[in-house]
Amino acid sequence: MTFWQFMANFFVNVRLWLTGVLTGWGLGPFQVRLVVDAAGSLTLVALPFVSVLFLIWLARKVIARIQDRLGPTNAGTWAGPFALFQTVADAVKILTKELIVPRGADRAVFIIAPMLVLAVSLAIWMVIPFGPEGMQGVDLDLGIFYVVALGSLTLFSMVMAGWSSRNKYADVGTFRAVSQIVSYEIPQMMCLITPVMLTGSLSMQKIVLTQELPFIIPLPIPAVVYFLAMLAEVGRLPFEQAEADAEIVAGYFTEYSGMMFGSFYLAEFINNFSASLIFSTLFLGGWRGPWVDVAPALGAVWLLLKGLLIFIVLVFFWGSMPRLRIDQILAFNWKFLVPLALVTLLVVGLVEKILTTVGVEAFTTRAWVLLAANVVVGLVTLGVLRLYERREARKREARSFPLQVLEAPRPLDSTYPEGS
Amino acid sequence: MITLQQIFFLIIAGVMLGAAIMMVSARQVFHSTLWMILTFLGVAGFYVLLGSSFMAGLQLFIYVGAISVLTVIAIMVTRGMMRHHRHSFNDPLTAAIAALACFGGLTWLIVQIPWPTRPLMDIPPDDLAFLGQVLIDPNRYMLLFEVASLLLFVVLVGALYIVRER
Repeated sequence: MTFWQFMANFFVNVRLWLTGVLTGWGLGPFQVRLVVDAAGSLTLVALPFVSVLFLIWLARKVIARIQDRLGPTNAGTWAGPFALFQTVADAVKILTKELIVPRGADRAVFIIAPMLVLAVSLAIWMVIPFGPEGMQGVDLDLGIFYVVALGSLTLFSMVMAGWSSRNKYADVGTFRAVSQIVSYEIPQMMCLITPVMLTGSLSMQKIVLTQELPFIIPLPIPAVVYFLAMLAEVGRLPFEQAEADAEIVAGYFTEYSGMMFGSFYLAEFINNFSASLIFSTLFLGGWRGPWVDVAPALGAVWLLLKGLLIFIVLVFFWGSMPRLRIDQILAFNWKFLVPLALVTLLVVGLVEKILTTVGVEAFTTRAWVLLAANVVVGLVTLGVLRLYERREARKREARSFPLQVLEAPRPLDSTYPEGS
Repeated sequence: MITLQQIFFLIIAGVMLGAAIMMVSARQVFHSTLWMILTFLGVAGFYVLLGSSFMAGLQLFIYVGAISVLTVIAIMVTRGMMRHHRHSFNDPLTAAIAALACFGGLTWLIVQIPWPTRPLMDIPPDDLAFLGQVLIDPNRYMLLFEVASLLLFVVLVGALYIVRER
């Protein structure tokens, strides 16, 4: 096997090589599998940490550029070219900090919460397919559903953190986080179902294999709604109410210090990136890309690039969006996203059913019909929105008319009566 | 010889029983919720042991994701619950009677019913798709499925009626 042949299917080949070596040492098949799987899991756990060290740097740099700053630099430090290792320095610093548990806090719950949130954010990486066969932690047959189910544990660790801190900012942050995440789970689930319907399976690997065209082409509306709901789930601007740092310090993790704070910070970035990866898997074709059939290891590169693209969009939002109020966030969800997701789900289901009954087998043909259906739904939505806006404007006008008469602006040259 | 599966069963069962006892004896409602979640996670673990990962996912999603969150919201919006008071909300005698009645009734039922020792039907390997087909099959459970959805719809309309602006 030449070097390039080895590299073409790098991850599977490393696994085979390790299995061969261990068997050569005289271990039984069970022990070999145990060691190989443990090594694979360690790689999967290390990957998010390593990528987050880079992503935090990237986010800081991009936001700095948006705000016309330089961001972290290496001037006078040893942070490396473009301050690439600034995050490593920060990580080392935060590890040396004291862990403070506030007096009166619920000690056990307070300490468990950051561990839980980090563990859950890592557990999601188990089902992300980084390539064809053999480049995924486990190909669970409930794949994407597992991700959604774990989301509820993230929510719970937030609640635990907020409740145990005994801090009113943490309480307010928890209220907001719970109401926001619980509401946005609904359109997210509905939009998740559409790729699952086209695939006929919940398995992430099968969802990727079905995408001869990325699902964003036949399903643009679910993709957009899912993206917005995903933003709300990971708490990025404009849906950053749970930890709005200008209002409630840091929301549910206000009271945390040292690496316990670091765990929340890390988990947040890991969640942002894994949400980007899952979006890429669902709608952008996952690990599919040119030359994957000759070199399966390239799949990981394509997936990470796509995930990075989505992550950068998240950072652009972060750098440029205002913060919505919590009532605006919830109204936007219940009055716009949920009905839209519901209608799209019905339309996509109907069109797909009709097409398969008629006997259109090719996915590419069905994709264009579905795209047309989505465009129709989008146009109708725009029409409804315009009608609504017009009606609201008319209402506003009707309400403000008498006020205008009463409070007509005084002409500029009029003199004020004495003593007024 | 005890198998690996049995060891895991014993561990999970032990954790679940402990968590259940802690749940009813915790002095704070929020702690009770947390112990309850641990119990739910144990049930999910049982489903995994039985090889039904979909049911485990459902257990996580519905019981941890929906019911426990609902409990937490109820705790949050209830005055005084968030104030970290340390007093019990239990009425021990009534609780004991209710628990004993429930336990006795369930035990009696479990002993009475002749449990099937084999699966009632052959499960195809793609059991998730099979479950979906059975649910909307007119000869199987379609009626129950639709009645359940009707019930949920009525609940939804009722909730909207309660919160509408007057």
